[in-house]
Amino acid sequence: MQDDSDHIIADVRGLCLSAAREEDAARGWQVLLTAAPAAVADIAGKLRAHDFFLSFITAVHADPGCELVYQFCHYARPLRVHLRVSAPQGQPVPSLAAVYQGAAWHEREIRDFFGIAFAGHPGLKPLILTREDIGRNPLLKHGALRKRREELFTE
Amino acid sequence: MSAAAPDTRPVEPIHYRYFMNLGPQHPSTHGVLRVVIGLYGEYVLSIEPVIGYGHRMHEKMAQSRPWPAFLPNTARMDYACCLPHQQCFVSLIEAHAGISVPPRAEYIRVITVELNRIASHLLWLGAFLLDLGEFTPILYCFDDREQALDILEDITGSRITHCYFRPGGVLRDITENHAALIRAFISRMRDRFSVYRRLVTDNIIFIKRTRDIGVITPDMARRYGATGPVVRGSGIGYDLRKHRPYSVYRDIAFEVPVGARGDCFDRYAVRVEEMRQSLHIIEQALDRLPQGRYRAPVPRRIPLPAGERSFSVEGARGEVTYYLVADGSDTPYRLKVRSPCFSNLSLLPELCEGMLLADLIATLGSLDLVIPEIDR
Repeated sequence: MQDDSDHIIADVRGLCLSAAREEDAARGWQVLLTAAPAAVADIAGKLRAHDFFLSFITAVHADPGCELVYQFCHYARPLRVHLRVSAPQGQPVPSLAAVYQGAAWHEREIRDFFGIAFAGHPGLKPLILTREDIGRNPLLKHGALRKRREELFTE
Repeated sequence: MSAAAPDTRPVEPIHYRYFMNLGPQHPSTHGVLRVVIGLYGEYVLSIEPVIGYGHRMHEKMAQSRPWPAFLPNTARMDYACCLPHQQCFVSLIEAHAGISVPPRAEYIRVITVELNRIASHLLWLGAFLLDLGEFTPILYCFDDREQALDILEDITGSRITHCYFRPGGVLRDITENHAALIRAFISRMRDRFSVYRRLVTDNIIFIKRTRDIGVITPDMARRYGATGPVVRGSGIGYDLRKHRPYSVYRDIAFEVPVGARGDCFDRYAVRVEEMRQSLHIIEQALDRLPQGRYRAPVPRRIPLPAGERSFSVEGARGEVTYYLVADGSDTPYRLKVRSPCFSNLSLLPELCEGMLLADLIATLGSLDLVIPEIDR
């Protein structure tokens, strides 16, 4: 398993800002990656070539902006890859829908809840919320509720 | 009934194509799901699931109250099999706050979760066959399911929305009487499988309606992130209880049934075999149930240290993952619930294009959707 994660890390390291094996086994994932938004689709492409599937995408609103979180899993090997990306404010993030078609729904949900746009998405319309709710973004945090990124993500 | 439209289909003039709403109120959608279907005669040209009718924003609720107050919410997403959701949330908090769980509590959790899984599969089985126009099986399924629910009610205090797990253990201990009731249920259920075989599995009408219908390839499963019996029907033995064992599943012997073709029949066969395996798991857990505490003493207020963590368990429908970001207070900063049905439903448009309408209903039923879990 250790060799497996080293193999994955070696393959995607060039595309990431950081790529490391997770030391805390109870953390929920074995590989922790951080990357720039522009590299997301390429990293996903590499992981797909390694037969990973996309478990989910979500976002966390912090100061100064949203963090996107992607988790990839493997059907045969007990490996979970956790990818974190800082979304630029007011700019779209590349969509994963061309690599993982299942990403399309996750991205529509994130647009509903956080107002993040995805470039190259096949149909970015509301999924959970409705057309009238566009721009409401219920999971954005305001005022004192919003914490700085460094307070939440320790590494 | 063939799986795909014939290739000799005439070029479609636009006025022959019409749209039909399946749902939001329709018996075969098992909840408030709307599917906009573009039809050419009986053939399905396009499918667009419309969800969100039952959206309650559980994730926002989790972020606006101390985490123990979120425990009842975990039972209100997948109402048919809520204990895995609760186990996932409680285990995530335990891992994050460093709370240890007595072994007896872990065994009790496994017993109740597996009972819940059987009840959920029985509900699915009855409803799925009802979708196919077979009315009789649901009466047998609900009879069996009642027995499981009666036991769960006795243990947890509620029939459907069980709120039984607590950080550090479970709410109440199980007694000798409970163990006897569960053992009686196990031997009763084992006899019932031959009834289901004669009633359903060997039924030629059922086989014709499900064999080679709605074939999910491993590649499609991967592209959409399908999990649970939906992916195991396609020959991929992805079961988190074996894949990355949590709780005490490492110490329990059981098999992960897989299908070969990935059609509706295989998904049916996988779930029926899973019920058998769950009985086997419960039996072993009862045999080994250790003495001791069923709940560790835990302080009332437990702050969650800053940082992120995720925890995954195998629900009745697939991988349930809770992802937590904490800021040091006892209210989660962010809690994401990954529900298996969300990903399993998202593959429907690709899967059902070109099918007959009746096959779409069979395929939709075979995915075992619980809509409130998708909407959250």
